Amino acid sequence: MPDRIRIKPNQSHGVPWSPFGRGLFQTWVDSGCRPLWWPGILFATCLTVFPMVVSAVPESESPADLTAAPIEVLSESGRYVIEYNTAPNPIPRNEMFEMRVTVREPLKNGPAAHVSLEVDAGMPGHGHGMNTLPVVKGSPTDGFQVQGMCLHMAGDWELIFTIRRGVMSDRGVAQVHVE
Amino acid sequence: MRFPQTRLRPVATVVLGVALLLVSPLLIGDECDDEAATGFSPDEIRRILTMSPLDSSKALDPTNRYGGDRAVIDFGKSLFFDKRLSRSGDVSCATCHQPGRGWADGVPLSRPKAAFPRHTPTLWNVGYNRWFNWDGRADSLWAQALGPIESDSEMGNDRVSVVRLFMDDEDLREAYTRTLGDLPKALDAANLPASAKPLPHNKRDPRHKAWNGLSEPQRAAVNTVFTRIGKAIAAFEATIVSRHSPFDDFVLGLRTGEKGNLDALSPCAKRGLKLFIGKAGCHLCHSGPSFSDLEFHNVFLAARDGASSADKGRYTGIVAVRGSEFNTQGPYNDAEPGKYVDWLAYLRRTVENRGQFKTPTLRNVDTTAPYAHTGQFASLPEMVGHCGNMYEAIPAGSHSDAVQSPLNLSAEDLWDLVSFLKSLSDESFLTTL
Repeated sequence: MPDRIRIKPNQSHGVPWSPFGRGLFQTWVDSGCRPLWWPGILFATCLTVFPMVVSAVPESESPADLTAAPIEVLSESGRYVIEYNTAPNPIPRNEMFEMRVTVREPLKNGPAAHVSLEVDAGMPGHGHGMNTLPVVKGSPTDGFQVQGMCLHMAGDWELIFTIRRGVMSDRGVAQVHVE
Repeated sequence: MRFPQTRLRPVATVVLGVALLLVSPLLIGDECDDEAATGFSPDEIRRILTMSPLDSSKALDPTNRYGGDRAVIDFGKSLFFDKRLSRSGDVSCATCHQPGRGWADGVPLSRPKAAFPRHTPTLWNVGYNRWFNWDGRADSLWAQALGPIESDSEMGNDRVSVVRLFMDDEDLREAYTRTLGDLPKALDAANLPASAKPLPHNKRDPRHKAWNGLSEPQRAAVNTVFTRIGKAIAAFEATIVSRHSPFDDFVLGLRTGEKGNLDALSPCAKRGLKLFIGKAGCHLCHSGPSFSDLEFHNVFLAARDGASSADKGRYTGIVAVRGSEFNTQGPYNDAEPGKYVDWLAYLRRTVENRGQFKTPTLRNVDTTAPYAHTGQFASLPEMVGHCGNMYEAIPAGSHSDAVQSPLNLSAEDLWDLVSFLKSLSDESFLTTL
């Protein structure tokens, strides 16, 4: 049994489609399938060029939707889990953005009932808050929509979620950094 | 190219491939090289790239249907310089907003007799603002343009007199109908008083009484014409743009690697830029391509002699913009709901707003002296000295903004910052006037 297959030029060899063209492939087969230098170079070139191409393509902007995986915040008492996501995501500097917030009550294994929500934000390092007053719509069961949020300066902000039920209130704080 | 037919050929292939991989970072241009070439770290470069270029489309105001219309811009330009819009006939918008003085007037207080005299703000890049005037009492450029026409301490006119001018003057009427539309049928010169405007704080004023004597359709017709005049002036003012400064050339160099662009800033200005986005923290308020966060801050400034220390700035500005009949929630906003950002709907008023004034743009700041809302600082070094080291700071009263604190910048630092600020100048628009 020969250790190398030799195919004559006029012989149908049943080789599937080759990206390099039949002639080139045939030449390689005719040479006895010896190791070639150019595939290695091609491979290395691909490895080289690929990162350049990837780095040249600008990062696509995050879609302005609220379908991204929500971020969880535990309230200070531990009674509520606040889940939120934003549109746009990440939060842009000095532009209006929206939030979708749900409040769960793990002890009852479901959405917290009979609660209201207030959302605000502040920069502890600067000692000031937002210049806008957000509006919260929605319900505990269907989720809350928050409009009118704007973090107008770059730096570290706190998103403050205040949950009220009757005379009791609790709050959760999320840390965000705005570029 | 062929390798000799030896067993070393596979080895050579691998070696060559690995070598290519090793040099690939050099082909891409690594961060260390960027820093060596530009003097800025990757984090600093990322921050700088947010400051240029200035997006020309953002100067178009969706609440002004005439924005960008060349014929209206030309008409608005003629109105900007037209002194007939004032009651005395000797004051125009350009009296205070002089092109050769950075679209300001070069004096600390423009209206010494006003209740709260302030320094004339520049009009450079005014179309990029979110709020207008030092206290943000208007939420559109066209609404802002109407204020001085009726202000008794500025042009001293009234809307009915202005509308009558456009009805009576053949040239103005022709230009109005050609660019802004027909004059409303409800306007009838014979039934219009000579002078009228609402003055809710001075109900005994005959002009206020005359305004109240008009029918609702007449008032609506007068307001329609008056606001369109404001929109024509605003369409022109929105073209007063500075966006091709040496700093913008430098940022272009950061993007392209062109050495010629990277040399657009002097070493001194580059050091100033490094301070601006770093230790001095100027970029926190003077952010983005407009070099302003478009919002309001209390920078611990005492009122200048002759100005009132009771000027509450944004605190009263919020009341004014909410109560303005020409705000964007009124009937003269041309944008469809959802087609513009309704900042007014979410506007918050707190005691923190006392003493806050709008962050001015820094583009062409070298041409707009004096500085601050009552022109407290005659020169850029004085202004930078206050912002950096708070030489002139007073207790802020009800508001505490810890972002502003003495930084003990050296004299060299301050001069570097001034040098950088001077690199933000581009007055090429003036050649098109």
